[in-house]
Amino acid sequence: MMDAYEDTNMDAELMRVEAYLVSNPATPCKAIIVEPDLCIGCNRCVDVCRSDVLMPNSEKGKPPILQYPDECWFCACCVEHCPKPGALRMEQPLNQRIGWKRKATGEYFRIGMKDPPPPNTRPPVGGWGVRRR
Amino acid sequence: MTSRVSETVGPECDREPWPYPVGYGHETELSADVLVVGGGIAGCHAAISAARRGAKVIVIDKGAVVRSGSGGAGVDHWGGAFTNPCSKITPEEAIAKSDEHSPMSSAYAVKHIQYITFKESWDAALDMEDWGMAIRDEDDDFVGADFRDEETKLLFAYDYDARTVLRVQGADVKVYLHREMKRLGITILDRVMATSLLSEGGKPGGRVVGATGLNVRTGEFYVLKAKAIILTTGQPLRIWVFNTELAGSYTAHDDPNCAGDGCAIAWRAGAEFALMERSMDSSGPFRYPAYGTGNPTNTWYGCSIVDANGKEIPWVDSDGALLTTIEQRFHPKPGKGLARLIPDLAERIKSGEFALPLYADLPAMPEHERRAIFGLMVCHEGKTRIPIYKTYTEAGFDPDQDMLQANVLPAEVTGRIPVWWDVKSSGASAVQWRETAFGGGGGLLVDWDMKTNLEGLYAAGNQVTGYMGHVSAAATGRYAGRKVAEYVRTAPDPVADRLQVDTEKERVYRPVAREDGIGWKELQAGVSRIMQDYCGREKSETVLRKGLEWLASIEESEAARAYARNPHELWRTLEVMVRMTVSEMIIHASLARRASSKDLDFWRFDYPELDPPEWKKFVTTRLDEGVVKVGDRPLGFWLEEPYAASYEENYRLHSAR
Repeated sequence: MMDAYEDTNMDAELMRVEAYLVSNPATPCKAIIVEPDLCIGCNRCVDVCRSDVLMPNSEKGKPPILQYPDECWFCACCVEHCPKPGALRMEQPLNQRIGWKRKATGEYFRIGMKDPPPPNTRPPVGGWGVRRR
Repeated sequence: MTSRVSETVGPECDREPWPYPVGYGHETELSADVLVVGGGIAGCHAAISAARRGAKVIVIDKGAVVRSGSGGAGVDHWGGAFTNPCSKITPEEAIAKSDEHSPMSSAYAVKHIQYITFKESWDAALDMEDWGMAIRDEDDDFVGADFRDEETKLLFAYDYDARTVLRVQGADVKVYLHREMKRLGITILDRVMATSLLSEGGKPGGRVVGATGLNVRTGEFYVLKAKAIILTTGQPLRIWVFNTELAGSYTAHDDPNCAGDGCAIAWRAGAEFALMERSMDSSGPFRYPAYGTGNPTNTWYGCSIVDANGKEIPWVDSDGALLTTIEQRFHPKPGKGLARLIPDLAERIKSGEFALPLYADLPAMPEHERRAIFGLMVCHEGKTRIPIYKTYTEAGFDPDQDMLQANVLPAEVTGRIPVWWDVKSSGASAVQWRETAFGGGGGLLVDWDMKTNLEGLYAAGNQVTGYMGHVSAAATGRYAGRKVAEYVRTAPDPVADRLQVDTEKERVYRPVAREDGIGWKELQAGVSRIMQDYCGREKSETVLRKGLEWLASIEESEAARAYARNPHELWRTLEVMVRMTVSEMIIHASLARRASSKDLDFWRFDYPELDPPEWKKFVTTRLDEGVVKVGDRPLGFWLEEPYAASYEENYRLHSAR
């Protein structure tokens, strides 16, 4: 909605914004973010979640519903079991984010900052995903 | 009510139909030789161990066994591996001096559990290797490292000479366990919470013959009969501080669903407990992600720490002598404790010598150490592969050139080990805020057979009093599985008492019949408030009694009006009931110990004398026909009558190997 402000009349745009009677947002708000274009609705994330944070969509094949983000343990097992790279990601709550300093330059970065440094693409020991033998 | 709301706020729906078929009251009856309650690390090892010996096994778990439990998100250290081929210490040598260096130990460590762990840790690691987990450096990532044995390819942590703690690649440990359970034909009931134990003839105190269960998605009811039951539901958590408002359930170190189900149902069935009075400071919801801030301990052990100006904090050995090289941190003198940062760090921060914030200087570490900390340990330890390694590296963190910040803490607690690796306390703890002790906390008292005082009832892992951890869960689980497989060969067939089942069923479903009253979260907050106020750090007879009065009053008033609008809310409401029972157990145990104890972090201002000799014992509690019976057991009871006088002999007699 905000993106529209630049090329349209702001007042007219605001008048079109609807308001709803809803509960206050949970804290943390999101915990798990589903990319609807990538998600295939297989519900593997739903199947592994220990706390039923995610619920299956009533429409088969559609992305799961984030129902209880406040009960998320942030174990990200759902992300581990997601078969579509990028379809599901865990988001650190804002009050759980920490920073770091680049030793050579003294630059300070943090999780969630605007204009972050480029990603470090080195995989962990043992690689990503469940080991097969 | 509204239909779907904007995608940028959550929860995304309100009053939509429940996504699972609802079957409140619908009953399924199953029977087996062995019922394992709780499919975490201990439960899975117990189930596999019993099934391998021919027992028919059912496992129930509130979550999904493929990932559930405190170990379900990974393991990196495999401690107590005293029988691995490189170990320089035997289990017997380790148990003889386990009071000295282990953070889990104190005068109140329950050492037969510890010994069983030391004897079988390595065997459990070999089991895990058979089932798919890498316990060696198979990819040769660490060839030539100080902590690698070139012949076996085992990698070690902490003390590179003693070689008793393995570094393993256990991020997917539960996936391997689950696969093996399915291969063995074990019946796994995911999403089923145990709500009660069934006693022979319906009489608590008698032989345990099964359990009732509730499916937390469908609301269906289970009657599960078994010749023997192994309780493996971990330790009760979030009793004093239960808050999802600041960071969800992130700040629970162990599985946030560990309400203490096994404790509550065993208590009602008449089982005997010890050390329930033991608790510790907690910063509850004010923690950072575990292993996700710069620090020099646990998964990050040995990492150089620098201050805000890049000045390195010195390390000392356990005698306080300054260390001059990084290598020395991993080579303590034989029999000595681990190195640590200077003990007077607080004073030197206050005097201005070191400036906050501090940073973990990974680039200063040798390459193998750096990669072991951030890449091996941070990746395979619980909740680190995606939450820390992936999240941080995608945000640009590079251990080769970046120094991870330590969270800013008051100077007094900076460098305190439990604070830094942030298990339960960030240092910001009010006196009312407690948590059940991490390591050596309360639980079921078991004998050398891992059996409780009740016929047919066994326990393993963090369900048991006096010791804890992933490896102890694995070791005691496999041991208990053997014992139970032996027991069920001659045990009688279980018969459930219909009246007991019906009474429990009526209790379980009461909240779904109500549309208003009190929701589970407010009820939990009220119960936690009782523990904060009436069972906080400093306790006294009158205040503890007042706490019991409050609990009883809430039980007949607010709790009797709790509502549940779907099976999930029923699950959470029943967990509050569990925490109410556990709270009662803790208060009763606190009343029973009429002495203060430094070892137990237990403070009675009506009995201020610290650790008087006559109170150096386990105080036990159990419920007998509605009355709390207090007893005691000497420290070291496991080497007294009716047991043999040495660890080796008891193990030989009882371990069923």
